[in-house]
Amino acid sequence: MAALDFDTFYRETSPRVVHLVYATTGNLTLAQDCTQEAYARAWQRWSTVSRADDPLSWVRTVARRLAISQWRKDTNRSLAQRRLTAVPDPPAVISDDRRLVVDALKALSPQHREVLALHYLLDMSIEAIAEDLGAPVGTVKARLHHGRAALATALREKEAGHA
Amino acid sequence: MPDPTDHELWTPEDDDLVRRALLSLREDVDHLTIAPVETVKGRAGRRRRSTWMMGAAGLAAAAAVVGAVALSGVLAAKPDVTAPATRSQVTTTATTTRPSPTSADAWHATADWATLLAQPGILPTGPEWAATLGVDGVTAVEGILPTDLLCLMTPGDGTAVSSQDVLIPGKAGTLGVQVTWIYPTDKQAQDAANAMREKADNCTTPKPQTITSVSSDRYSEHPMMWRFSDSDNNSGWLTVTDRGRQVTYVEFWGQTDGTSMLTLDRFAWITNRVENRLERYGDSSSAAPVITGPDTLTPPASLFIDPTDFASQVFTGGAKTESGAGEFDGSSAVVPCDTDSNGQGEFGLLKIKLAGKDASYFATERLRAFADPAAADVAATDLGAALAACTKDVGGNPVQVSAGPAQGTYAMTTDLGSGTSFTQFVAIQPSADGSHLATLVISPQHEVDQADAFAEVIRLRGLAAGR
Repeated sequence: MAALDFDTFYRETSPRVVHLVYATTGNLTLAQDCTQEAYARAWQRWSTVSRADDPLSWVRTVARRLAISQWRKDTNRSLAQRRLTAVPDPPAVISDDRRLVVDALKALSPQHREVLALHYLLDMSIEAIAEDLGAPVGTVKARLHHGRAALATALREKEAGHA
Repeated sequence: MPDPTDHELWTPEDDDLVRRALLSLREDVDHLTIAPVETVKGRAGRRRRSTWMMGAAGLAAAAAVVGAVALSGVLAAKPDVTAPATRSQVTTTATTTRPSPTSADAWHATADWATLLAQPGILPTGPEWAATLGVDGVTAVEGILPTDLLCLMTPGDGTAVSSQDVLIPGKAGTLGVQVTWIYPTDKQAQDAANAMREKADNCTTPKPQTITSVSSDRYSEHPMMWRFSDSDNNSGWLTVTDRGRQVTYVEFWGQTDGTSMLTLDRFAWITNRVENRLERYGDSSSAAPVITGPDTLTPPASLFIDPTDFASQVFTGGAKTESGAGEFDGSSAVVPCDTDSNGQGEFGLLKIKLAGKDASYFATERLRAFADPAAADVAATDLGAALAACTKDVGGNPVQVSAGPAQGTYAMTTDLGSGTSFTQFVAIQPSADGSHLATLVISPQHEVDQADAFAEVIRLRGLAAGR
């Protein structure tokens, strides 16, 4: 029963988590890796996680924290090293259309990207984001406003340069 | 939903543009082949530590996946005593363990511990683990910061300084994790450590099934250690140690499948290594440096040069130094012709003054974080080129630049007119791992010999490189 529930849960929800972490990091390979790790951790304690009010929220939070933590630890550390015996996945391919978006995202700090992703992809309110991150509402509001303005500016600059 | 009342920074068009851009990323995701669920479960099984944490339902369902790992003998049998599995037995072992004149000393005598301790690091190194375990090739490598500490422990307001996995050749998965956090004050570190110990002493999670405080005063006074075990004959050791502003957590699965890899005596030695490394390599400054920067997006204080290290004969006449408060004015620029001035992203400014004296600021360290290791070198090159070519400051005052005796060092003299000028000494230093770029600017408050000044700047630059 638990195995079946997990399988369905994973198949139906994991693309959404990859999308969220991708927007948070601007790194599709890292997003895949952290999402997979988050679901692996969920599986390890599935009897508990599956009874949570919102298992997807649990996975999303773990995946985001892993990604942010990894960013802080520096991206020059080998994912393969951390994954021990795991067989490395091939690098994720980003389309040219999205390269512009990704490059613009990378101009922001991870904290700004995280707030933007939560707000725009999950439609979370400032208050809900603040509660989720354990940050003051004012901080989240500032990050959202600055991040939105900075990303919009970066997108327009890159569009102009691309044209 | 977007807040429509506050448009001083952005417009509804920005809002729409950003939303469309972020949603468009889903197209890349949809083109991915999501890993099969079996891969995810297999990944879980590869981590021995996590297998131990697995719930009963998950364990049964995953038996086929992890069985091969478990049956292959994850840990080789060692000649050490088999640790007891119950609370009372553990306590008895702990309180009756005393130095053994034979076997215990034999392993301890096989390593040059002083030499091993001289290898820098806030956490026990791979060679120290190897010598303690009696196993060659053990490594301690940076890993993902664990979010699943035993007994739902949390580090409070600590900032992780280092998080490592302890890996043993031929053994699947991570057998140990070790993390050090730094706190703004000694008191906060002590409080956080005590809260974590409280969790261990009053563990409410289903696993571990038993966790018991143990003691051994062979190497340290009152080390804080625990022995934990579950109903599957797996067990391990835990220590939570604080020194100054740091707390270190070490969790090691010393026994699986009925074989013990780490005795209390050896884990007490690891705990002693933790203490010694915190004392030797930890941040010993009594107060957290004041880091100025954008919102909360500043690198941790531990990555900056210790403010007290700015004291020197040439710049302060030997007087002590400290960091001072400074309002962030929105710019990250610290020198004329600075290429880093937009105030965006993650960076911090450490402003140094004479201890106890206001209005005596003479040095600044800017630390800029980079996600791409190569970007730090590029930024360093760009900044160096801009400084070398600098002829005017933002006010239009003439600037003369001369290169210092070492690459990335400069003397910049700004002519303010009327015969007044001042010289700043600058050093640019990427961190060894490429994650940060430090820019040091020293503005002497009196005439200095340029050779002496550069020698001191190069010393500080070396400190920046080592953070």
